[in-house]
Amino acid sequence: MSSIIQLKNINKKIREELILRDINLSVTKGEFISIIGPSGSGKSSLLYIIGLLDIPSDGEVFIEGEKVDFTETHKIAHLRNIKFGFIFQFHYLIAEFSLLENVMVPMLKAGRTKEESKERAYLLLQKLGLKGKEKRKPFQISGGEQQRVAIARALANEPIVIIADEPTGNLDSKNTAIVMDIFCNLHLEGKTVIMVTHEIELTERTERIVKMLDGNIIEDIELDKKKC
Amino acid sequence: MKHIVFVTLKLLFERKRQTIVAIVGVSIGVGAFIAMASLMNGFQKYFIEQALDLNAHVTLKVKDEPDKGKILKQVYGDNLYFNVYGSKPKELKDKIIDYKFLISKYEKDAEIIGIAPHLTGQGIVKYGTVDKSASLIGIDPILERKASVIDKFISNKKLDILTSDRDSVIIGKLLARDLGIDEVGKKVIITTPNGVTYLFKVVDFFDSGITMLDQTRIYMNLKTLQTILNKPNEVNEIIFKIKDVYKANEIADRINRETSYYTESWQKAFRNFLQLFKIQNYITYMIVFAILIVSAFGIFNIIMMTVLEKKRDIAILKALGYENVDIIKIFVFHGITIGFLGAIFGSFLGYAIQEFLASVNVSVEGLVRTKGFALDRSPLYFLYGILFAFTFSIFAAFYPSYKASKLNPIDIFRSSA
Ligand SMILES: Nc1ncnc2c1ncn2[C@@H]1O[C@H](COP(=O)(O)OP(=O)(O)OP(=O)(O)O)[C@@H](O)[C@H]1O
Ligand SMILES: [Mg+2]
Repeated sequence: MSSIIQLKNINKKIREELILRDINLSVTKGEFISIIGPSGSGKSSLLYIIGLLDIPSDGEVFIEGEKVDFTETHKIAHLRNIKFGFIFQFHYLIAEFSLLENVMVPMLKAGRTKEESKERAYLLLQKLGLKGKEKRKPFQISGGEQQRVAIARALANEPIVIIADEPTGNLDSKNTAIVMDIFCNLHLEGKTVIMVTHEIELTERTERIVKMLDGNIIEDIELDKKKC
Repeated sequence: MKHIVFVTLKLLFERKRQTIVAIVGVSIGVGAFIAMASLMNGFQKYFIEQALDLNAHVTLKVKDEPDKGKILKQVYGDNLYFNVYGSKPKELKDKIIDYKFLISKYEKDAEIIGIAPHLTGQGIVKYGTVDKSASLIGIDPILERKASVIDKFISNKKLDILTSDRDSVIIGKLLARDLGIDEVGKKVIITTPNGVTYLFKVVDFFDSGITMLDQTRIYMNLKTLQTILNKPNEVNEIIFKIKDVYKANEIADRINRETSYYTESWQKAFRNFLQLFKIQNYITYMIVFAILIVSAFGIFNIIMMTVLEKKRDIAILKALGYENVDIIKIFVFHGITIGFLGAIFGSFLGYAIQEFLASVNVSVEGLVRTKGFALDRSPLYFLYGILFAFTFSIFAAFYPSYKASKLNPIDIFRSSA
C-alpha cells in the first residue's frame, strides 16, 4: 500500500542536542497509530515534523509521495491547512470566538465561503454532540466539550491525517473514552490518525504502536486490526 | 482575504474595551488636529484678509530708507561691521510730484491691477465745541476703488459724493462718536497745520473694525486736500493692488529699483505679525503632532498587548495553516480599522468642536474687532486628519504585527504544556 506520510533518516538538532535520531517512519492511509514513550523521548518533536510545523535538521519528508521542500512556506502552510488536522493536549480555542466561529477559522483560510463554512461547522459540531451549543464561547462549556470542538476544528477541511498530541491528557476517564470513540469512528471512516499518548491502555484500541526513547524509535508493532 | 477580515473584526468586536480606548485616542488626536488647525489658520487668515483689505498690497512712500551705512558699505563691501554716531538726518524726498507719470507707467503693468494716489496730512476737526485731531487722507475715489476695497468699510456706500461734492468728507465711525455726530449731513470744521479753517459736510462713515483707524481717519477728495494743505499736484503715497498678493515683496522691490522711492509690501508692513504667526504655527503643529504621536502609541500599545495576549491563538492559527503574511495582515488590519474608525469619529469630534467655537460669542476688541472666533473650516483639515490617522495607525500596527508573525507556534505549544 502507498504511504501517505514517509519520513526518511530524520534528525532534529536543537542547540547541538539531537532530539530525534535517524527516524524512519512510513504511515499508510487509514492507519490508526499511537506513539508512546517516556517524557522527553521526542514524541511531540516527531509529531511537529510529521505535521510540517517544524523543519528537520536532516532527512526527507514525503507527503502523498511528494517530497516536501521546507523553503516553500506558502505551500507548507497550505498543506497544514487542508491535509492535516491538529489536536493538542490543550484545546487552543480562541476565547473571543464562538464554538461555531472557532470551527470556521480553518475553512475560511481554505477559501470556503462564510455560508459554506458556517453550514459545515454546524454539521461537524452536531456530529461531535455539541448541537445547540454552537453560539457559546469556549469558557461556557466543559473541558471534554472543548476538546471535542478542537476535534471538530481539526476536521474542518476534511484532512487526510489527524495529528493528536496527548489529546486526552487533560480529560477524565469518561471524556477520554468519548474522545477515543471519536478517533475510532474517524479511523473506521477511513481517516489516518496519529496519536501521542501516555496512557498504555489507550494504545490497545490502535492498530500500530510506535515506541520512542531518547529520540529513537525503539519498537514499531502492528496490532490486531479489530480492536477499535 | 475573508479569513483575515473575519478574524480581525471578530477580535476587535469581542475586545470592545481595548478597541474603544484605542479609537477614542485616535479620535481625540484627529479632532484636536482639526479644531486647532481651523482655529489657528482661521484667525491668521482673517487677520491677513483684514490686513490686505486695509493695507495696500504695495505702498510707495516718501520716506528714505534708513540705511546709515550705505556709503560705508559701498566703499568697504557688505561684510563690514560698523556703527554710525551722530549722523545728521538727510533732507528727505517729501513729495511725489510725478505721480501722474508713475500711475500711467504702472497702469500697463500686467501684475498690477490698480493704482491710487494718496495725500495724507494732519488736522484738527471740530464739531460744536468738541475738537479732535485727525489724519486727513485725500483720495481719488475712482482710482481708490480699483486699488483697495475701501467700499467695504464705508457705512452707506456714499464714496462717490467725494467726487461730486468737493466739500464733503467721510469720517471714522469712532471719531464721529467722539465728536458727537450720529448721522450724516452734519457740518464740521477742519483746521490745517497752516492755521486755515474750512467747513465740510459729513456724508458717510468709515468703519473698518480697527480701532486706531476708526478713531482718527477722515477721507476727502484728493484735490480738496491738495488745496487746503497748499500742496497743489502733490501726493505723498501711492498704493498698488497686485494680482498675486504673495508676489508683493518682489513687486515692491522692483518698483523701488525702478523709481528709487521707498516701497513697502504688506508682508513688510505686517512682518511682526507674520513672524508671530510662524512661531504660533510651529507651536500648534508641535502640539498636534504630539497628540497624534500619543494616539499612535495608543494603537501600538493596544496591538502589542493583543499580540502578547493572543500568542496561543496566533500559534494555533499558524498550525491551522495561516501564513506569516496572514498574521501580519490581521494585526495591521486591526490597526487600520482603529485608525479608520478613529478618523471618522475624530472628524465628527473636530466638526463638533468647530460648531461649538463658531457658536461662542466672544467679542474681541483690540487688534481687530470681531464677534466670535474666525474659523477656517476647510475640508482639507479633515482630509489631513484622516490621512494622518491612517498612516500613523499603519505604522503603529506594523511592528507588533511583524512580531506576531515571527512567533514560532512550537515554542508556544511547548511552553504552555
Ligand atoms: N527548545 C528546546 N531546547 C532544548 N531542548 C528542547 C527544546 N524543545 C525540546 N527539547 C528537548 O527535546 C526532547 C524531546 O522533547 P519532546 O517535547 O518531543 O518530548 P515528549 O516526548 O513530547 O515529552 P512529553 O511526554 O513530556 O511531552 C526533550 O529532551 C526536550 O528537553
Ligand atoms: Mg510532548
